[in-house]
Amino acid sequence: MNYTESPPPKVSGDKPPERGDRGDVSLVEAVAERSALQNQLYVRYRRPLLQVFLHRRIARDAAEDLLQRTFLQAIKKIRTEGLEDPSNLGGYLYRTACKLATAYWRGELARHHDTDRELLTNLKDEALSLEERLDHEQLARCVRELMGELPVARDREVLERYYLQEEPRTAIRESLQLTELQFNQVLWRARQRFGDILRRHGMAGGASGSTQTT
Amino acid sequence: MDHLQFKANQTAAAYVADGLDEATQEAFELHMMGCPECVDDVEAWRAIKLQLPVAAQPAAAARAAHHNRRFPSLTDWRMAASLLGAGVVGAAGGWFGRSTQGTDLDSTVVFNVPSVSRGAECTPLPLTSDTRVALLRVPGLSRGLRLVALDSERRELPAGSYTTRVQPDGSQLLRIESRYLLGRAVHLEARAADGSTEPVGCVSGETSAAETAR
Repeated sequence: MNYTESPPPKVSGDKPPERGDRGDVSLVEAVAERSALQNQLYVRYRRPLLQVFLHRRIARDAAEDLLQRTFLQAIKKIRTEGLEDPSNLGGYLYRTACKLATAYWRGELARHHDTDRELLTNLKDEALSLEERLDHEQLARCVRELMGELPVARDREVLERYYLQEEPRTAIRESLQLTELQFNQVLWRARQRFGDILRRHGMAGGASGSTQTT
Repeated sequence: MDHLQFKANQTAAAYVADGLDEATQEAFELHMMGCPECVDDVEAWRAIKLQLPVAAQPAAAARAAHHNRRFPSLTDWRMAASLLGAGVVGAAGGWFGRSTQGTDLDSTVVFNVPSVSRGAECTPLPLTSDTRVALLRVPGLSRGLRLVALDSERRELPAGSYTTRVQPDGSQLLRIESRYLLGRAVHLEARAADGSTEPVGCVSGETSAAETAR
């Protein structure tokens, strides 16, 4: 199964529609009219939808299959009945993905898992997730660098306990006597540094550091 | 909640750590549909979470070696394999399991899966309350076969719940979090590139008798 019945999702350098409600409306029109811009559907929504599936503990191969089903359902709906609210295409895709994830765990979906490698190769970088652009060894090296570069032992401990030991943040905060703000600052520092490390490894756009707003 | 609040609260980090309530998770996932920056953050945190066990092992082992010279440090899968290899001698035809000791091995148990016991009914593995990780060694699988872990309904366990690695001696190691084992049947299967499968066996985690007697 491919993402679409007709157009191969070889994403071109077409100028993407603007983000936001108006962008969704243009995108829905492009899908309905089968114009070249419709490929922006993948560029814009593939990565967030993939995270929705991964968050529901769906293995990557199965998540790829569910992604394909999500896009296929949306495209069919747009071309047959149309969307009630074209300005909320993202919301429609999100709800479709959630339903498919539930159906998957209930065993209601036949499994395909025939990931289209050619299709992945044809997608532009911006449609691929960080893990699809860097292999496991490179990512492990980046995370090792992160742990090595964090100057404060407490910051390393926070990350290990939060993500490795999976302790609740309140328990970590209490034992380390950190306020909510301090805890968030630890995460912010780690995220900034990880962004720098990724940039050093040539990942300029994909995982930029965040701007502190606290 | 708007973008600035999500950023200020480090919501992406909490999302990956499964630390959001249902309503906030839904709000954040919907926001993510239109926010590439938040998708970047989620991908970065997910990479950190997935690679941290690999990245943290050398550091943990170094600390263990420093604090406790009695036990060799478990620096990587090869060391784990050596440990298992030593255990095989004592295993003699049955499943071998032992709770390891030492700072970095407190929460790890190792088991050998001899060929003779494969395909039998689910074999109980004794776990203690502080067991977090189990290492299973499966010798004798043909090269090119991939070891996969399935739940009782024969669905592959979620991404991140287990990892496998082929050892220099051809055996395969499977590392699995104990929570996916305790009280559950986990089926092991060897999968070929063409999709054909071969059952390897079934294991289930049980609270050890010694622990129960305490």
